[in-house]
Amino acid sequence: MISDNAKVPLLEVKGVTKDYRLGKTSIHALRGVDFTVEAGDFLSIVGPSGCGKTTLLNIIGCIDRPSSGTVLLDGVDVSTFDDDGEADTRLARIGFIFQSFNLVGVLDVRENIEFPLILAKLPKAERAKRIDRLVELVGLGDFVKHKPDELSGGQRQRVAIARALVNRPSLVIADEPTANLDSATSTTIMEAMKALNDEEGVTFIFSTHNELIERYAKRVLSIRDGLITGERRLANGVRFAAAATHEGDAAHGGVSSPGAPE
Amino acid sequence: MIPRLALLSAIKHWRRSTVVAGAVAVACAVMIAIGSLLNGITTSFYDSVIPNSGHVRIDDARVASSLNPLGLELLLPDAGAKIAKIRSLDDRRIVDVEPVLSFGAILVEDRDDRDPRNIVMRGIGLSPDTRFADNVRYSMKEGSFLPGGQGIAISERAAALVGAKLGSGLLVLVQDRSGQPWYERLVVTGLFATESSDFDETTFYMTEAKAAEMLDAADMAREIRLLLANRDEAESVTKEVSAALMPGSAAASGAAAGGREGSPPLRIQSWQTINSSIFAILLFVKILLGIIMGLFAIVSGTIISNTSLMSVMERIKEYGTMRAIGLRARALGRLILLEGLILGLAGAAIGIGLGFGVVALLSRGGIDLGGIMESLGLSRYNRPRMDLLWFAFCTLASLAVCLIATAKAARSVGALGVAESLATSS
Repeated sequence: MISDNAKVPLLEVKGVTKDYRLGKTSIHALRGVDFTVEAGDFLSIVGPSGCGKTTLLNIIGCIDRPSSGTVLLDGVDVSTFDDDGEADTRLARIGFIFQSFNLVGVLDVRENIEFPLILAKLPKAERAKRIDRLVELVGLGDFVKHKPDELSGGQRQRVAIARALVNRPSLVIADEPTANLDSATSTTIMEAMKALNDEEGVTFIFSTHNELIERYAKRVLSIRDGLITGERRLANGVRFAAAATHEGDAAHGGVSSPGAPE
Repeated sequence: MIPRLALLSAIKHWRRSTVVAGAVAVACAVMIAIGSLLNGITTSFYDSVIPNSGHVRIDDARVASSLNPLGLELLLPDAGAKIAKIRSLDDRRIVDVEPVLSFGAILVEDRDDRDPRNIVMRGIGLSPDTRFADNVRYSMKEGSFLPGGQGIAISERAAALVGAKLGSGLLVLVQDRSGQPWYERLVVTGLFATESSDFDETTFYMTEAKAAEMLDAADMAREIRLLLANRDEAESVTKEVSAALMPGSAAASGAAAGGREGSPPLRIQSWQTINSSIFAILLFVKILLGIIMGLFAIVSGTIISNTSLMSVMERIKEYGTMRAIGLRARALGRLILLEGLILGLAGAAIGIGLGFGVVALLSRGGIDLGGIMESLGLSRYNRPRMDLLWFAFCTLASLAVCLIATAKAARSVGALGVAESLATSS
């Protein structure tokens, strides 16, 4: 999951702009964004609603194209890929975690996690091995046959995390992963992501406008009106559980917390 | 998992799935029913009209322009010699050759106590063991068809009109070739009832020998009919017979040519030529039913298309997620098409069952198509007939309509970008 070539950053975003036409009006969602991400980073993009966070994550994640500028993933410009090239890149190298979980409603937990593996045409035995490991890692071992609508918000997001990680991507992008969760469950999810970053070396870029969540990051990029307005480094990130002010929040922390409904 | 995903999606959205499958089922059932109806009409044509006209028919060419096609001046002379000549061809394609002597007659009730009732009819003289007149021979209700070459066969309807019954006598009044009236009391030896009231009220049968005797028309025939082993060879047999009976003339299908001096011109026609007007009407009926089927296909296709579109539009976000995970746009299209195929198969299966049931139900009593069919010489009651090939065609056509309609929905989803799909609120 860590880039093979240590000299090349995992991700380089250079002069990325994104304009939308809304009738006769042109909206500049991104006005020239530059930054790099090294493998193993745990980067938070923060800013108010409408500042361009989701647009930027979409472009980094190859689900949207910049109006100008380049996005280099492991030194390869992915912004010029065609639809199939983008789909293959998303499948092999990028994992997504969405604010509203976006699980496939008719599939159970195991099948949701298995879906990217089937697209990647992995053998059945390998698929089973990876899924077994991940469901244990996110603490959903007892819920593999459950459908998404039988799970709590936190459990659904953990399924989404497992699905994002199952193809062992270079980069996991999480767009406001805790926005639809209560603070206790948010803690659980962030602890899970942080542990994966610390222990497995998975690179995360996540957006948030929650200051408490932002403190998990090793690095924070502030964005406003389509421009990066600041960058901060937090030494190894802050363990939210330790800094929690809400009584009982810590009880929900940890990757291996049991998967009881939250 | 992809087929399972398609199946589960179809089940989850069962209301819309029911509409799509229902539209396919109705389209399939209607196509089967209409096709079977058409097949029934065609079969009725082959079963009743051709055996009555023969596969090849020889008559006097002047019949075509005569105001009285039953006029005795149009009888073919030397019928025996003509038949012998045809038989001498020793053509294995020809199964039978038979003279037919039709004429105008009045059937009069045989009673003295009051004014007898009478009815004007067309008499047909045939061999008692004829291989033609299937519609009568297989529709005998009482007695049998000219048993031992005796009596007359008359329909139950005609018998009722003149107060006759099996075993009773009827006076048959004709005018012979010299113009003299002639009547004879003949016993009703058979009562029949075909499915054509028009035919039943106008036609009776007696032996060709008795007809020749009454008309003073020995060795004469109104027409000579040929029965072939394979009806598709009628055109070539027509040419062969034309060449034999009219040497030196243009021996083509439907050709008429003057005979030797003193003999009338002959008209030798295949069943295709004889029934060309019926073919034109059948073609019209086929086109009409084809248009109805086409309209059903368009209506079903529109329903399927709109329902599929609504169904996939509800799942835009889900599809966007799948694409974000790495599913290619074409693979997503295949997934949507697969769901359409599942619904199409389910609908077609229901449609086949429905169509089968409707056809079986209609086949019992038949559909009364009225006098139009009778005027064509067909039974007024049409019994739809099933055809496995047609079943297969209807199934494939229904599936095709479903897939084309679903493809439209799939294309609409594929045209949306991934980010756009994810941004929808569905």
